[in-house]
Amino acid sequence: MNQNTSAPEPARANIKKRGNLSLVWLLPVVALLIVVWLVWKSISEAGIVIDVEFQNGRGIKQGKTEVRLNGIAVGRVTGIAMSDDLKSVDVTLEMDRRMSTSLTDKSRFWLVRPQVSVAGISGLDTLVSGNYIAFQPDDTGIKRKKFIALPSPPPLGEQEDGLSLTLRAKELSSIQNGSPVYYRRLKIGEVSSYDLSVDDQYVDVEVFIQPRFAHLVRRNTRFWNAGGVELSGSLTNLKVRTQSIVSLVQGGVSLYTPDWEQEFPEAYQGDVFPLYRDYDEAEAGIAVEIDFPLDVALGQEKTRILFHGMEVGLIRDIELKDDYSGITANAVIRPDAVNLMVKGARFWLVKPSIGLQGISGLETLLGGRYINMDVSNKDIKAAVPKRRFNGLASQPAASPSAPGLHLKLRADSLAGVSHGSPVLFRKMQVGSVQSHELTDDGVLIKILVDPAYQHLVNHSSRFWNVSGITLHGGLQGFSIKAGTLNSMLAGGIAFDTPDRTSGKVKNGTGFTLYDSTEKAHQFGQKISLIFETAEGLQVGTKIKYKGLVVGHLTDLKLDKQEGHIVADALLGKSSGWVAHEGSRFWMVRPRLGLANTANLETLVTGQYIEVLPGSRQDAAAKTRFSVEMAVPDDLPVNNGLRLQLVSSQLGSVRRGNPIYYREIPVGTVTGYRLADPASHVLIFINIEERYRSLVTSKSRFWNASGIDVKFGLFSGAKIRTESLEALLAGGIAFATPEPGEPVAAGHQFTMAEEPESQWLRWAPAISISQEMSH
Amino acid sequence: MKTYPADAQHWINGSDAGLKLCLDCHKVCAEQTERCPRCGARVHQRRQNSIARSWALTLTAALLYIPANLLPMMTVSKFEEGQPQTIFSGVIELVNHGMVPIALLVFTASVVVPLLKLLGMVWLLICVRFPGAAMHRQQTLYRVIVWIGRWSMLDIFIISLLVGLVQFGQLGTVTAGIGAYAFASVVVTTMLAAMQFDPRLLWDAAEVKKL
Ligand SMILES: [Zn+2]
Repeated sequence: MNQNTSAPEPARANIKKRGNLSLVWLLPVVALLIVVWLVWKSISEAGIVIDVEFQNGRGIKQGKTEVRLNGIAVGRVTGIAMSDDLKSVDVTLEMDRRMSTSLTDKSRFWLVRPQVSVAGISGLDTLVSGNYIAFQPDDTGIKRKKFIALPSPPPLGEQEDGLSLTLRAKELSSIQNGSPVYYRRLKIGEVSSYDLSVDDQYVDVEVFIQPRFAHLVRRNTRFWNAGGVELSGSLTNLKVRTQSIVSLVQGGVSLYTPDWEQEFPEAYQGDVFPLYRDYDEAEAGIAVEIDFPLDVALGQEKTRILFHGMEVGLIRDIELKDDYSGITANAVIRPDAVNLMVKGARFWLVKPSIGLQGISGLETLLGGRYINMDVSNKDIKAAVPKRRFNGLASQPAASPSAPGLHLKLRADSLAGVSHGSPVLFRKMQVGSVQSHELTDDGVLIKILVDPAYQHLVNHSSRFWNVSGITLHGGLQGFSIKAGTLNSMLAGGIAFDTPDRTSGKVKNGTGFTLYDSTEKAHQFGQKISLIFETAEGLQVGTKIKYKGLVVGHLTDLKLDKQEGHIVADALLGKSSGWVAHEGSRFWMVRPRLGLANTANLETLVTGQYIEVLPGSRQDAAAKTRFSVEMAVPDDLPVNNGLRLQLVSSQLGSVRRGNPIYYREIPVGTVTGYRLADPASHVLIFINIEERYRSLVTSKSRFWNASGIDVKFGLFSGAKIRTESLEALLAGGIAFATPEPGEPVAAGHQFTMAEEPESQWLRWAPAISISQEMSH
Repeated sequence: MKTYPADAQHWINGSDAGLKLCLDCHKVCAEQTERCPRCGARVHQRRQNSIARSWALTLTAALLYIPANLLPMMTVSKFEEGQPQTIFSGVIELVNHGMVPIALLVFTASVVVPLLKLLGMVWLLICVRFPGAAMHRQQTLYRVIVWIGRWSMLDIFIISLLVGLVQFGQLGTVTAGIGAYAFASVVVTTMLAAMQFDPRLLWDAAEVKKL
């Protein structure tokens, strides 16, 4: 431009450069448009400024804290200031424009802070995003710009439609605002508030049930306090009821609608229900009264009423009768057990009793005493309702009409059996003892075999007592016998039926109750054995034949007149043939001695009685025998050659000493005795069968016991003996000059004191019986 | 040729001498020269449309100055928490944190200087339109405006640096706000306005006044 040269020139230049100018001026126009747009935008988006009064400003940050509606930010705190009276905080909120219609006097604001409690974590989102102000819009009210925030989130009930009820409780216990309301442990609502009732007599708890659960509450619904831990019952039946950990701490209310009652209409808004203290109280059942004698101690805790082990009710409380003649127990029976409360039902107390005879009612030691009840099918069918019963202190006998087999058992003593003791068959309970009574000759025990098992009893059945533990025997093998743990503790009776085909028994048939299974099964022949002394004898001592047990002693007694011991012995089933004329019995006991050690096994197994049955088949039966205290000397040995030696002295010969032939034992000394007249001694020996041919009439026997020491001037000392054993224990040797005819059994030889020297040189070639040699 | 009053100080300017100055390489050219023989730039006796362009750019800058100050310059987020900040709120925050000197610096550089630049430009343009003011001060003012111009990019430079450097995801990020664009535009337009302004017009105006 040429402004500096002359005045008119700018006009010229301007006209010339018009196009340029207009382009440049576009810039401010664009800028203006931008500014105008920004201004319009900021104005249009500017929020509505409102004031909300909070009790305190904790957790609210200017410029940061958001106002949220369903999690979406709809506003922001733009300012915080103390109120004029310094009692509250005025928070200025800039709300989204769209909220303009929702800001009415019914709208509510409250601060949401994270809350961590046992009941759960709420406002968890605030941990990340910070506290926020919850906004609950309501466009039905009058528009306003000033609000007062709620001190805490509004209770559930006021947020939604639902069922609000009043529960009337005697005490609040652990219920708080917000405590859950459970239905089958599902939370269906919560406690919205509580207050004393108008007359100050109750606590009215307002609960809110969510709309979708409202139909669960009917007019007969029962509510009970589910807070805390509820312990009921005693040790074995300990019930710990708690709805959830939440209710443990926060308290809670549970509800249920009894399904046995007919359908009731649904509850109305604001209905009042009683709030029971606990589940049991809520379970209002059928009230019955049971009169017990004074000595029945029911205890303080709730006593259960069991029907065949099933809980059918509870004793709520007990009270003395007006005339102090007894106790009246107020029981509540489960509604589903109403059919059992009929005429004929019996109640009795089951309590632990520990005696020397055993323990009965053991389960009550752990589970607490309980009331047992029983009612027969007949009575149930008759269905005569009754609400007041007489209780018994102990179990009554089953009524004769009760199904099953009623039997009588006669026993010498009760021995641990008591009411309710089990009756076992193959250790399985098939019945129980109903009663017992004293009779002139013992005890009469009545038992009832369950109907399902009554076919197991017939005339061949045998009953025995299995109470407690029985120890049998000593060193010779002892056995511990016990029925079942229950029968061990509570007593019991076992039975078996050997012959299933035997005739059936009727109700009331009597049986003998044996003391033990052994006694019950003593079917063999009884014999009496007479002993000089009972030393080493005991009941159970066995009678053996060739090592096989054929019987045992069942009783030992002293015959005062004769001065000896009489033992009853029972021979096994198939051992009756022993009880005949000619059978011989003797004691086998351990023998320890320098010369003779025998029957060492009896040290461990115990002494026994050996029997040698008489050989004659046609012998007469005999049931009384004398028992020799040692093996008989003249015991016939079935096997081998039996000989007699005649000696002036017995010397060191003992029973069992070996008989040597060329220093080899070929037989034994079986016994000895003084001859009659007593001028000499008879020694019985037995030569083994295979060596029978070694003995001929020319054989010479001598005493081989001791040491034969010979001295010679040149030969020195010569010691010879048949064997070291013979040296110690003694023995008899023999020699035979030449083969010859074997002698018959019972042949008698004279025994020399010592051998002649030529006897020792005899060496006949006698062949030994081949079939026996191997 | 013009004649000047005797009492007035007498200048001989380029046009009087039939000379033009290349504004790019400062070569003195003959009056009829279209392009600078040395650097090839277009050579004018006076910059064409200088006043109008300056006005337009100054006006643009003045308009943009409004959003530059009202709109958030940048958002510094820590743990996804962040509040967009305008220049002014940033300054207040600095003051709240006790960093008054820095706050003053920022305030000066970001608010006062641009404003003064704008006002200075307007003043210069008015002076050219209505000759009469003291030429010395105007020239000084012009120099100051040009000198300051290069420093007014500092804010933008820092913001772009931060935006580039501080990107730690959820831990912390810096994002430029729309105000930064407005601010950058203000800086650029004021610089352009100052550049478009031909200082020789001031002298011409001074001479007119003297006449
Ligand atoms: Zn040039």
